[in-house]
Amino acid sequence: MHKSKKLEIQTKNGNLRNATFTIHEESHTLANTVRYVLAHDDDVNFVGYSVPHPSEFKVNVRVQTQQQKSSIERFDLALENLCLVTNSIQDEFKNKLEKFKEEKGIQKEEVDPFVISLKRQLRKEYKKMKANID
Amino acid sequence: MSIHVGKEKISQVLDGEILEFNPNNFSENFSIEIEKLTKDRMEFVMRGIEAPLANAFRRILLSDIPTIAIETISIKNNTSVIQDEVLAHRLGLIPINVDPKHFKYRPKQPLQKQDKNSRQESSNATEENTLLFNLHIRCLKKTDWEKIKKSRELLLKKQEQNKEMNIEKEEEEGKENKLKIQIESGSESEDEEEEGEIDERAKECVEKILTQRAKTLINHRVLSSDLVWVPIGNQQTLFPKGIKPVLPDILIAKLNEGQEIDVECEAVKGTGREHAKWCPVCTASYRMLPSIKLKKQLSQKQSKKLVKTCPMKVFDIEDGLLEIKNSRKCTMCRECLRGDFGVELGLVKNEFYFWIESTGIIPPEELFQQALEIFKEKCINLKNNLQNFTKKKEFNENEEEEINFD
Repeated sequence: MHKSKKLEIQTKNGNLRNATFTIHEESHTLANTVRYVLAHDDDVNFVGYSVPHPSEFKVNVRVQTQQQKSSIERFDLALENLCLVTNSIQDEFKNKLEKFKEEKGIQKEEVDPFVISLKRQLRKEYKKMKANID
Repeated sequence: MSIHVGKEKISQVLDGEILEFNPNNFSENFSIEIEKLTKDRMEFVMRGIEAPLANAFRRILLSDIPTIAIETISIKNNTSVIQDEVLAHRLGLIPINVDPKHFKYRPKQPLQKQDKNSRQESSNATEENTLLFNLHIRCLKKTDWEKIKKSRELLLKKQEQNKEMNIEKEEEEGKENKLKIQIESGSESEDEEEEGEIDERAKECVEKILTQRAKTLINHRVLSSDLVWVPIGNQQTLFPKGIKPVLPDILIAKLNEGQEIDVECEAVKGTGREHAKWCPVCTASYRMLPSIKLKKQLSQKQSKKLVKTCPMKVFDIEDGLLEIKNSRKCTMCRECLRGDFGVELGLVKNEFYFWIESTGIIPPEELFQQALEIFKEKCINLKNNLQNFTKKKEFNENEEEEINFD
C-alpha cells in the first residue's frame, strides 16, 4: 500500500496570493482551527474551509491574501502559531496539575480495579454464607 | 464577548469587544483551573481559549488517541445462544488494561486467497502488535464437575510422580478457585436487594430459579475475568503483572448446561476513528460558562420572587441585596427570563468547562496531555508537507474565480 499525498495546492497561473489547500486525512479538527487562526491574521483577506463530502476524509482550505503576500507563507505561519499556542497550553496544564495534586495530597497508589472487584465479591459471598447459617 | 441567550432565540452580540487571537500574548490571557480529578474523571475550566481550539481537543480525545481492543477471534467451539458475530462484537468492546505505547499498529494486509489451514492476518501478527487472549468456558452441573475434578486430581498426582510440569492444568486449577467464588456470589443477587413494586410471589419464583441455577451449575455466566492472557514472545518480561480487562465483571454471555465457548482472541492497536471500541473515553465534552447580569433594580418582593423562580438556586438575598450566588450552576433553563426581572443571560465565548471520563485504560490527565501532543503532531506534519511544496513548487493549475473583497 503506497501512502497517498497529504497536501495539494491549487492556484491560478501560479499566483501565490490566492490558493486552495486540499489536505488529505484531515477533518474539522485541524481545518477549523487553522481557519480560526488565519481569520485573525491582518494580511489575509479571505479564509474559509469545507469538507467536500463526508465520505471522503479530506478538507479544502481557501486562503486569499493582501498584495505581495504569499498564502503559503501565511498558512505556514498559522501552523507555527498553533504549535506555540499548544505549547503554552501544555505548560499551563502541567503546572496546574502538579499544584492540584499537591494541594489535594493525591498519592500515587497502584490500585488494581480487578482486586477491588474480587474483594467486593468475596465480601458479598461471605455475608450470604453468614445469612444462610443464621 | 458573550452569546446572548434570549427568551426565544440565541444570538451573537458584538459588545464592541472582538476577541483577538494573538499567539504572542496568548499565555497571558489563558488559564486552566482543575476542579475535580479522580481515577476515571477529570473536570476543569479553560479560560482564554475559543471554540475551534477547544473543539479540536475534544474531537481528538474521541477519535485519535490509540488503545488496544480485541479485533479478530478464532472460534473453535461456540454452542451458546450468543451468535458468533454478536460474541465477537461483545468481546471487542471490552476495555483491556494495557498501555498502548508499548505496541505498534498492525499493518493491514490486502485480501488474499486463503489456504485452508492459514489465518488471513496471521502472517502480520507479531509480538509487537498483537495480544492473544483465550476464552474457554464450559457450563456443567456441579455434580458432574465434582467427578471431573476428582479424575483430574488423580491425573495430577500421576504427573507429579512423573515430575512433569503441566502449566495448562495449573491455569485451569487457578480458574477453578475463581469459579468457586463466582458460584457462591450468586447470579442476579443484586436484584434481590432492590426493593421495587414487583409482585412478591413472582419475585420468589425468579429467585428460586436463579439461585437454583447458580447452585447447580458452574460457569453459567461468562465474565470478562474469564479472558486469559496468553503471552507470546517477550511479552511476559514486558508485562510481568499480566494483562487483564479493566473490569472483571463485565458479562459476556450466559450459558446453560452443556454449552461451551472456546475462542482465541487477537487484540490490536487502533483509534476511535475506525471503531468506537478503541475510544479511550466514555465521553469527553465541554460547555460554555454562563454569564448572568442584573440590569434592573428590583423591589424586595420582586427579588424574593426571582430567588424562588430559579430552580438551580443561582440567586440569593444577602443583607437585603439580591446577589448572583452560584452562576456556574445555571442550566440555561430561562425561567428567570419569563418574568420582568431584567436578567440578562448569556454564554461566555472563551470560558469552557471541560470534563473527560476515561474508560480506565489511560488516566484522564494523561489523556488530555496526549490529545495536545497529537494536535501538535498534526500541525508539524502538515508544516513539513508545506515545506516540500515551497521547494518543489508543484502547483495544480486550475481555473478559479477570485473572490474580491476590495
